[in-house]
Amino acid sequence: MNEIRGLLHDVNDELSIAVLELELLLEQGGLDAATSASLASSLDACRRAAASLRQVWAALGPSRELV
Amino acid sequence: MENEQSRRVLVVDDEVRALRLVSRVLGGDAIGCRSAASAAEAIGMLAELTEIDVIVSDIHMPVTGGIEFLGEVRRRFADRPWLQLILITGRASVETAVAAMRLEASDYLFKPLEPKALREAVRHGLTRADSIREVRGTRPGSTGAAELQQIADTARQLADDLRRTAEPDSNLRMLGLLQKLQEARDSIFGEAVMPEPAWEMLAELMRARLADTQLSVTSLALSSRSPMTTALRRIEDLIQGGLAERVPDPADRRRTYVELTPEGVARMRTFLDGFARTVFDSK
Repeated sequence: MNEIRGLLHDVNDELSIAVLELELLLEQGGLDAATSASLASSLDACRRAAASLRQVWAALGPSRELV
Repeated sequence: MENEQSRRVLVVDDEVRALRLVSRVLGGDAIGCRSAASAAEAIGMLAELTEIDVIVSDIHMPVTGGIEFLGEVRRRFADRPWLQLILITGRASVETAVAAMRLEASDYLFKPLEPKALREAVRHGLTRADSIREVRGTRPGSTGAAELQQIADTARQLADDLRRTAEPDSNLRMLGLLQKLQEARDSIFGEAVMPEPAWEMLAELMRARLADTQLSVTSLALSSRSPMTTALRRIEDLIQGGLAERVPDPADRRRTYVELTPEGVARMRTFLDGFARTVFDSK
């Protein structure tokens, strides 16, 4: 079970990087409307994935390790 | 863009991409930062660089985890109470939250990180560090440090005084409220509902404690509103339970007082404080 939790951490870390990259790109501005909408959509998808991940974590139950 | 805050934030994460991104996020708010890819590297940097005020650390790291690392920071750099710790975690857990509280972390952020939340947390940490450094006069050129320290000491003293006077008063008010509830119950149910002698005597002992008076065995037994033999048995139960103790009157060896033990006082305070919270929260 700890191995699964470790993998979930890895997935979450990757999602976190994707979210930061997308946020920074959107912040910089200077994008055309279509690109901007595409990035916003990707960002939204990452956030939904992270929300699903939290549900998987919750289903796995509490862990004693500090995470 | 480098500015005076550029060397005051240290970001610690084993993931190099995350370090680079966090630096960019903070840089976008004109907050430059240093970065370390391991706890050991960060400890080394802290030892050399006294200007660091805020540490942003991931909790989930190999070799030395974030909690262990930040505990080490608190131990090694106990002379830098202005250090603000911001923890980044993948998920909420009670254990991590408790650890964060013990470390006196100034903030606790979840992944995926949101740039706005990260910037706000760091800015808040920098402001807090500034205030503490100013009070302690550790920032070169700080003014009015002695006066600020005096104000802080006075405020702390005032808070302690308030705590000392407020707690017994609150406990006394809750005892009064419990007594009124009991009187209301008696007026409705009469003798059909028996009193609870052990509880009656515990409450009476707590009132005596708060009023700084003493109760003889006889007075205490009378307060139980039950037959003397029952009351004496219940007093014995309280003593056996570690809640009360007999104290001889030094002026009259024939007389014995009964007082709450420290354990009894602590339990009564826990009960009355909990009762107070229940009463006030239900408003």
